[in-house]
Amino acid sequence: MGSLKVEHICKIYGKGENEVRALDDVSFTVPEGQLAAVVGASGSGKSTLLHILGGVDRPTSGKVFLDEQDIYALNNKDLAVFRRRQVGLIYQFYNLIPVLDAEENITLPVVMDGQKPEPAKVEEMLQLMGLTERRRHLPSQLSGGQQQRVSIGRALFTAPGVILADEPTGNLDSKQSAEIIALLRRSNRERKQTMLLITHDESIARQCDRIITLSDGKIIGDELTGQGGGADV
Amino acid sequence: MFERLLALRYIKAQKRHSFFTVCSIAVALALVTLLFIAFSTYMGIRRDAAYYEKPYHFKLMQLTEEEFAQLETNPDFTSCERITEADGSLSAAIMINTYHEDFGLYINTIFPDKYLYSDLKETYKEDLIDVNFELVELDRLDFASKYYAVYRLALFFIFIIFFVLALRLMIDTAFEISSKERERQYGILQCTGAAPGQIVRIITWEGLFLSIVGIPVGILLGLGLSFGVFQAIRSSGVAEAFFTAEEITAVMKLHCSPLLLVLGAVTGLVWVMISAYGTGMRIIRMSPIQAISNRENKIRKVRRFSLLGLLFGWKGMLAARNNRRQTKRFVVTVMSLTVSILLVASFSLVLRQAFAAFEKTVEVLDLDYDFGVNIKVDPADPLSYKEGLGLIRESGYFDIDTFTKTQLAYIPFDEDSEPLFCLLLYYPEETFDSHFIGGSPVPYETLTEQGSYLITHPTNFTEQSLADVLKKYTQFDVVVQGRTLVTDDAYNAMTAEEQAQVEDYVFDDPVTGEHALLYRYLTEWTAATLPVGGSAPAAKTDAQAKKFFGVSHDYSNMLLLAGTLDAYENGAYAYAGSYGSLINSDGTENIRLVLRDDSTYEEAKAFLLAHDDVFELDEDFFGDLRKGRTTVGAIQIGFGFLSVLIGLIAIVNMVNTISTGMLNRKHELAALQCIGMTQGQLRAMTVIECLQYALTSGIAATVTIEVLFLEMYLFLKVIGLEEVFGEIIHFTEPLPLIWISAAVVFLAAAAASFIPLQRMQKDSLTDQLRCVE
Repeated sequence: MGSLKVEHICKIYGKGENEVRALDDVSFTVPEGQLAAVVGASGSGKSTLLHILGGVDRPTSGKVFLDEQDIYALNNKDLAVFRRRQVGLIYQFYNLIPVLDAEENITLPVVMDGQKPEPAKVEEMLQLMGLTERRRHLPSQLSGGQQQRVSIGRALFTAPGVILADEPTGNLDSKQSAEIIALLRRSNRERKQTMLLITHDESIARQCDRIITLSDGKIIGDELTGQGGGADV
Repeated sequence: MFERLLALRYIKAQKRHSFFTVCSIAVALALVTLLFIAFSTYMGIRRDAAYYEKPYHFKLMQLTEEEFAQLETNPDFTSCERITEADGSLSAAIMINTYHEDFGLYINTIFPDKYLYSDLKETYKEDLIDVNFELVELDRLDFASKYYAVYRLALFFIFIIFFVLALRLMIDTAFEISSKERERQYGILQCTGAAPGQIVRIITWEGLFLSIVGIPVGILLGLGLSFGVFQAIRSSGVAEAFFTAEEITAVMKLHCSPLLLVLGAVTGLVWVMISAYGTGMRIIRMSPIQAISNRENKIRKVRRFSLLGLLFGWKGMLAARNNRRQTKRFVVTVMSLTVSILLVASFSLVLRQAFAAFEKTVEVLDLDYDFGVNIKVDPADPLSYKEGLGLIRESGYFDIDTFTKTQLAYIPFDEDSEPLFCLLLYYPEETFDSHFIGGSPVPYETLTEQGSYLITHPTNFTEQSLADVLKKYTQFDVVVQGRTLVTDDAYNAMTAEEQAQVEDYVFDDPVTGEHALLYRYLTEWTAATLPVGGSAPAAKTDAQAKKFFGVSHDYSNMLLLAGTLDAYENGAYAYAGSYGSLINSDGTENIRLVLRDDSTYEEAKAFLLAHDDVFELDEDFFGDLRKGRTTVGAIQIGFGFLSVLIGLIAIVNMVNTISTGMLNRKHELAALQCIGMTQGQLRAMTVIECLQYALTSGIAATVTIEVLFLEMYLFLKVIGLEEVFGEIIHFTEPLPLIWISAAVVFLAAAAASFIPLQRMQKDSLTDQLRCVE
């Protein structure tokens, strides 16, 4: 539950002279429970990779397996259900729904699934994210750090096997960044979730189990940091 | 000027949006042009019709040659046409082009000695001057007419104010859509040092450039549309209700006032500039980073409970909250939709109701005949109507609806009891049966042969009492009133005592107050024995009379005895003296006619008018009703057209609002899909949003129309006509129309929401998100 395997992924934008290879034959595996950081310069293909892993964008070629299941063999509807149940996505700009309050944002994937969120679980998540007092606040009434915590809460609420975070601290100050990373790390350890974290911040990357370095759409580095877990490149 | 350069570049770069904005401007301008042309055409036709009827502002009559020569040199006159009247007198038809504060006082300056106008009475000397007041007013030649012109214009502008708002919304949303996708660019420009004023100028330049194309195209489109609509109206025959064939040729022309076109163009330009400026101001109110990150919609408060949430779960809740994000826009759109639904659904209904009320009035007033004709009769010959009646019968155009000879009589009974008054009614064979419910129990021929009468149905007699009367009497001894004409010679030859017996038949003209002696007559009472042939209840009139007048008909306290017209002609007329008839004693006999074939109306009318020595056409209800019906029809067509127009504008605005809303939320919708919303769920959510527009508009329209109906009903109750007209108010009648309109709104909205959704789906979710990141 949560091992991620990427096989020869290519993502090409444009055609002919305008062709841009955002990802060029990328392959790697992230074992279950590993917290991996993806680093690289702007335009190296980090976000594209994350979106492809999250079932948000289809690769031009190659395959992505989650627990041996080729996610791009799924039709659009099943892919949406996959994103809802098996992946938690965290963005730099949170991507919260402005008309929903903190609690409603967190529980949205479960509600979308036609289920009623368990109150105890909601309380637990709000507590975990430190949002109990802010549960009825709309995104516009929350600070950046609080919004990001709502976003993480939403990603974690369905207890997905894989968490994908695209520069989750990119928009936050250092104190808030540390809190967010601690939260993710804690969830990773307690729930044995596989996590892939895009970051520019080397200190954050160093807190992860593994660092994958991308440049011009290719993996140019893959190292274990010794924080735990293992890599199988 | 980099603002101008950038504006042009943006127009070229976003061809589709630019095209859409130009189209919106053009459509808005076309509709405004159509309205302005409709107004100027209406005024022009009125003016031409007034001129056609009397081709002068005023006509001076009974002029001498010197006076006419003096008029010819008057510098105020644009024309002074010499007219020799039938009696040989000289008149001058004058057109002027100068404005005069008080027209009457001005007229007095032409020939001061004649006092053509009395300032005190505010009247003109009609034998010396004929003023074409309508033409004077429409040419705005005095203060009062200028006042009316301003008043008319004000009414017109109040009328189109809704259009103006609705159309501005159309241009507004077009700008918002095109600028929405460029907000990031504006943010970047601001970050690189562009002043807010420069951003606004870029957008207003863009508006100006687009207007240069959109406004002329719109005006041309409006001209084409106006021409098309005018031709449709001309060929629909509506004009024939108001004008003769010659008048149609002379006056039914499209009037296109260049001033109004310029006004339309200026209005359009102002709208565009305001819309562009408004859009610019909205953008510069955002911080550059907000613009770059496209993060507006700072929602501060949401209403947690929603009916849609209750009905459709989380999708309904999200949809309701989404619609509330742009409350102002939602309210404006719903209001315009509500008005449109009301117009589309209720105009036809209200007009149908008006039509029904019109028909009801016709029925209640017993106007269900086509012509009322007075047959001229010789006062000294009671049977002289036969010539006119014969002509009508022979013409083949008509069926007789009613023709009745009437005599007043009384049954003396004995000295101790009060005499019973009765009316003797003589009906022609064609209509005889129709006067009795179930027809006459005795054939017309039999009654004619026997000279007998049917006891018919006075309202204070029950059928039982009629039967009792019938059992008791096989004949009545009556005394019939007659009138014998007394000529002037005979009157002068009478003694004073005899003259005292003579009565005057005078005519008081209610308009002129004229008191005229028409003739003198002697009243005589002739004893007669009238055989009774049977009894039958009277048809028609009674129920209608009771309904409309609140009482039974005028003969309620009389016994009615119905005889045949042939019997009258065979001798019964003799009972009534030389004058023959009591009721129609003014030298004519009224006959009501129904056309056998409606298509022969013109010929039949011409026939009646051609025999003006025998008939006098008193009532032309067929023409009046046709005119009335055609007028109602024309109003129906006009309002139907306008309501469809308003409906289309409202739907276009709603479509724009929804499209803009979707584009505004492009990133958010992508985010929803990223966290697992399926496309089906997304579509369902947007459909529910559309449903809210339709439902809210439908409910608002329903409440409004029910309130209007209630008010109408209460008004009828207050004026005591609810029994007569109340039945045409059906509270449930407009509901199907309203909800069909709401369903159309819903379908249009759903279709409109799918288009941007479909366009968005062409991009990957990453691309949709990338508009932010």
